Parts: sequence; C-alpha cells; structure tokens
Amino acid sequence: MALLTGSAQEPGTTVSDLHMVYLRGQISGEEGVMREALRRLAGPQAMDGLLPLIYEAFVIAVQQKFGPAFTRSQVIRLVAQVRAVLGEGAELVDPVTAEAEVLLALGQRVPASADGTVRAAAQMAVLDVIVRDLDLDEDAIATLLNQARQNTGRRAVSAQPTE
Amino acid sequence: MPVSDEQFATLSAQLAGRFDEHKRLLDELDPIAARTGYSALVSAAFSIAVDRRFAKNGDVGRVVEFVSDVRARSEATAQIDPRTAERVILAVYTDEQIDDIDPRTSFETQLVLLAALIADAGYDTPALDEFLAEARQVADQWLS
Amino acid sequence: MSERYSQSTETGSITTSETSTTTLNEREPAPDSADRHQDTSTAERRDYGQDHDAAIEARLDEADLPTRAESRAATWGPDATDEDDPDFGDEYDSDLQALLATHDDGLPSRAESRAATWGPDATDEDNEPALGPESGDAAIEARLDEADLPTRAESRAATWGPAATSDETDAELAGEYDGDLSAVAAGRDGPAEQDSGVTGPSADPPASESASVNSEQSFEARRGTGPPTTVNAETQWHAEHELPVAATQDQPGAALHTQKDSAPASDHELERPGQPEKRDDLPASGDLALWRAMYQEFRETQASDTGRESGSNVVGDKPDRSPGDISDLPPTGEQLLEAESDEATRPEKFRNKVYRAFDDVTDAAKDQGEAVQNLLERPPPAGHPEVAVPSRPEIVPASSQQGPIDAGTMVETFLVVGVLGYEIARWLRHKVNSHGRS
Repeated sequence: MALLTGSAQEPGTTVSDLHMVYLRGQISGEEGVMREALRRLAGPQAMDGLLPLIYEAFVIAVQQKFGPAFTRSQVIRLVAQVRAVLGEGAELVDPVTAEAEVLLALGQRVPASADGTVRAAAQMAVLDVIVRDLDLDEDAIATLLNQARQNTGRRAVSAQPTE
Repeated sequence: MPVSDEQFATLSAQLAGRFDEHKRLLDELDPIAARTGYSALVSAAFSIAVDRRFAKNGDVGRVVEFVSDVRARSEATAQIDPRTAERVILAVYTDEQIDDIDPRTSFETQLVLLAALIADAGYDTPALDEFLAEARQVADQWLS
Repeated sequence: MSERYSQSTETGSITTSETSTTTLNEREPAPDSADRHQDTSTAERRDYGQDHDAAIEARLDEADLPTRAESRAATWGPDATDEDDPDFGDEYDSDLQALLATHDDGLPSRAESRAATWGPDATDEDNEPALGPESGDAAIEARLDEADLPTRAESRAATWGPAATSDETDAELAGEYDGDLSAVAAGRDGPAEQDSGVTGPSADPPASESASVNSEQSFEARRGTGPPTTVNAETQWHAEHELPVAATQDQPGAALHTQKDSAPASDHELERPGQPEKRDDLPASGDLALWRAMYQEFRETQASDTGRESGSNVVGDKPDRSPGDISDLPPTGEQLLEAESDEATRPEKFRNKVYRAFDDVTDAAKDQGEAVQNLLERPPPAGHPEVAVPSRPEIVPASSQQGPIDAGTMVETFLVVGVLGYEIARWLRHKVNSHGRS
C-alpha cells in the first residue's frame, strides 16, 4: 500500500541533533527545551530536517499503537482524545486531517490535506498523545526518535532520482 | 402554519425505533409543508436534547468526545463532519455562529445527533412522548 | 559667608566649592554698594544688603519692572522721596549697557565681570581656576583635531582589517552629517558584531596607524567613522546586529545568528546581516549519546532558569488579564434579572441559531435514515470493521499538492503545536495526580 510522505522532502535533507533535541523536548512537553532548540535553529534552511523527522516518528508511533489491525472507530476515538485534551484549543488540530494522517500511516489510501502546516500540526499532536498512551520510557522514546532519524535518511535516499 | 400531525408522527416513529413506519410516513409527507414544518420540528427537538445534555456542563472537550463517539458507532455515522457536528451543538448554548453552514448539512447533522442523544438518554415511552410534545410546542412557536 | 563658584573646563559643569547653603541674599555685598547706604537715617529702612536685593529679585520676576518711585516706595516706604536716593552715579541705570559698549564683542572680560559683581577690589584669589590660554574654544578645537581621533581609513582598518577598502557601502558623510549613527549603521554590510573577536581577515587592528594625525579631514567627518563612540549609539548599533534572546524566542525564524553561537569564521567569508551563515558545521549524523547529552544539557539549563517557567509571573511582565476584566466576578442583580428573562426566550434563541427552512427536507431526512437507524437500533451494530495494516508500506514521492512550507509558517506551526506537547503533559500530570488522590 502506498504512503504519502509527510512533507515535500528534499533529497539530502539531514536531521541534526538539534532537531532531535527539539522533538524530544516537544514530546516531553518541555517548553523551555523546545524554545531553546528553536532559537538555535535559526535560518531559512535550518529546520528542513525537522518535518521529515516528525513524520517518521509519527508513523512509527502510529504503527506501534495500532499493531497489525485497526478499526476506523479506533482512529476516530484517538483523534478525539487528542482534541479533547486540548479542550478550548481543539481547533488547533483539524480532526479530518488528523484522521487522514493516521490512516495514511496505517497504509490506507485516503486523500491528504493540501496544507502542510495543518498536516504537521496533526502529526505532532497525535505523536504526543500516542507516546504517552504507550507509556514509553526515556530509552524507548530515544529509540523511537533514532529510528525515525534513520528512516528519514533512507527515505531521502530512495526518493532521489535514479540515473 | 404549525407542525402537522403527519410531520409529528413521522419523527415520533423514527425516534421510537419504528423505522418502517417512519419511512412510509416520510414518503407521504408534503415536501412543501415539510420545508418548514418538519425541519422546525427536528431542529426544535435537537435544541431541547442538546440543552438537556450539555447546557449545564458542556465544555468543548465533552462535545468533542460525544461527536467522536457518535462517529465511531458505525460507518454511516462516521460520514458526519466532526467540526460541523461540534459547532451545531455549541450553537445551541454558546455564541457559536453557524450561518456559514449549509442549511441542508446543518439539518442532516442535527438529525443524526438527535438520534444519538435520544439513544443515550434511554427514554421510555412516556418520557419520549413528553420530550416530543415539548419539541412540537417549541416548533409551533417558531412557526407562528 | 562668601560663596564662590568654580567652573571646570573638562566637564563644563558648575559646582559649588563650598557646601554651605548661602543664598544670594546672604552674599556679602560689594563694599561700594554697602557704603552707599550708610547714610540712611530712618528706622524703617532695612539693611540694604538683604532686603534691597530681595525686592529687586521679586520685581524682576514680574512682567513689568517698577519705576524708580515704586522701587523707592517699596524700599523706604510710601513717604520716601527722591532726596534720599543714593547716588549711584549717572552710569548706574545703564551700567550694563556701558559695559557692553566698551567691548567690541559685547561681553565683559573676566576682570570686568568680577569687578561688576564684587567690586573693583575683588581678586581671583578665591578658587578661580587658572584657565589659561588653553581654555579657549580655539584651543579646544585644536586638541580635537589631534591624534586621538582616527581617520576614516584608520577606523575602517581597525574594524575590518588592513585589507578593507572603501566601497559604495561606506556611508557618505557630508557636511550635513549630524551624528546620526543609525544612518551609518544602516549603510554598513559588515559582520554582526565586534565583541566576539571576529572582525574580518585580520582580527588585530594596527595600533600604530590609529595614532597618526590626520589634519586634512574635519572633526565632523571623522566623528561618524568607525565603531560608535557614544554609549547610546553603540547600544543601538549592537542592537541592530544582534537580536536579544527574547526576540529570537518569539521570532526564531527571523533571528540572526549571534557570533557567539556560530562557528569560527576564519575559513568562511562573513555574511552580511540578514543572511545568517550556513550551518554546515552542524553534525549531520550525531549518535544517540550526543543528542541525548545535548537534550539533558538543555533540560538542566532550563530547569535553573525558574523565572522563565511557563505561567510564572515575572516582574515587569504584563498581567495576564486587564484590570478592567470583571468576567470572574459574580453577576450583578441586573444581570440575574436579564438571565431570567433570557430563559423565557430560549426557544426563540434556538430558532435563530439552528432552524433554517430549505428545500428537499424529506430527501435530506432519507439520506440520513441509515445513520439514524444505526444509532437507535437495539442492540446497536458492531461498529467499524477491522482493517489489517500492510506489513511493508510502499513509498510514494511527496504529493505535488502540498507545496513548500516557508520557514516562518513552519516555525509558527511548531511554536503553536509545540504548546500542544506542553498542554498534553500538563493534562497527563493532572490525570496522574487526580488518580493518585482517588
């Protein structure tokens, strides 16, 4: 089953340690770490590796949560859980987009939102909730992020045009 | 023109679970009269049901959770747009505006949510009759 | 007690040489003026040295100066006549004018000023500084033209190195230059700051050249060259080339690198402000331990900075709510009455919000028949069917619909959604805590 990638990924996009630190901080909800990492990630191309990293981490987390099979209702309830947590901020995550992203990560053919920002927001929010829902410890989170980093590199290589 | 007996019987049959009777009555409804009378009755019933369920404790999280639960119950209900559903509920007891929502989409969403609210309420026959009587009274006020 | 004022040529300030609080009224009058009043005979006449001066001072504050008769009456009483007027001399009333007339430049000499104030016998023995010829304006200008101010070329070399040359980026400092250093800084394209030690191909300015004298350029022209020489201008210059941490936190996508954070620029050509140097010095593939160590370091750094915890109210921060915000107050009696009346019109309020007539109502009702039946059926249906997850998902190139995400939008997205992580963590902590209490 085909998967749409999470972002317009340029060949050769690299994930830096700062990207890893940022995402680790964001998963933990450590706003100070996130802001410090963002502060250092200044510049027009400094953040290019972050979106692919988030997407890969999101895919790994989704597949880890749902296992070999899933139901549509599970996806609906997961997204609702994410938005219910946000309360008044539920509008930050579009439910249709978030459900589509989860279904895409599970190998389903569904239309994806054309708005990359909305997609990234949905991926990040769902990733956060899944990590906590799975009750991953420090090592497990680090392993997940490292695997995501490796997947980003492999996907970038495979996306390069062959001569 | 107030809600007609035929219109009232059509909705009553559906909410009471008499689906075949409902389909027959629905086919027999005058579409011109239904444009106002039946839509007013459904919207009035929906408003009262939402008011009973969420007005006292209707934070956004509870609404989101309810809508997701409704959509998760079947493939047919999953077709409801979640944001539209949340907004029409919030419009009843908050300052949420839904003028931008298509009237037909709003009606269809209200009808599905009404069914879920009635199912969750678990009314017995007298309670359901009382609820529908109140809805008819409100709809008549709107149409007067 | 006499009081002298000393004047410093270096600072231009005027300070009292003594700490006494003697006032003008208490000043010892000039011997001549005092003698002029020694022939007063009436008991009503007050001491000239104190009251006379005070009276003159008071009247000088008024719009109209009094006539001599008024002054006389004020001083000696209404019965005083001009026969008792002291003989100030013909030159008294026009004394100042007479003084001015004797000088071509209209200003008295120092001795004349001294004599006019303290009398002809007053000397300069009381702490008058010996200003000498070097205190004149011409002498001051001459010193400013000397070697302690660098020329434009010297300033350029000191800033950018000896190889730096004049080009179109050098701001034109014409005669009308008024010291507006911001105009100079805006025309510069040099590196961000100097205090990091990164100043160009050569970091050490040639000290000997800066000491040379350049008498060809005027002081006005040279004053605008080189690094800012005033405190305020220097602060402004650095502010334009280095954003503070707070600003970068709000707009990290637009932040400039500070030279402190960047790699040494010895092998790279320094970029102009607004174009941060490329970060190809970042490790492209750090190992697990490296970024985890960095993460721990960030956590420790942030943990010690308690004033920046989210939600903490730091002195100087704006309050979370306006003082006029009364939304948390209980309703007034009038508001309660309005609420009661609102209850009576709630059905009407529902109507205005949710009811709208439209065509094809029966068709719409039929379209939702299956969904309604699913919800009301007893027992309810099984729900959604189970779907298997593919074991090896294929990779498809990025969708062409998505398009690029600009850095600013991306950063904004991260900042907004990043709060989600914080909110989720806070919610989970609350959940854990409440579960623990139950």
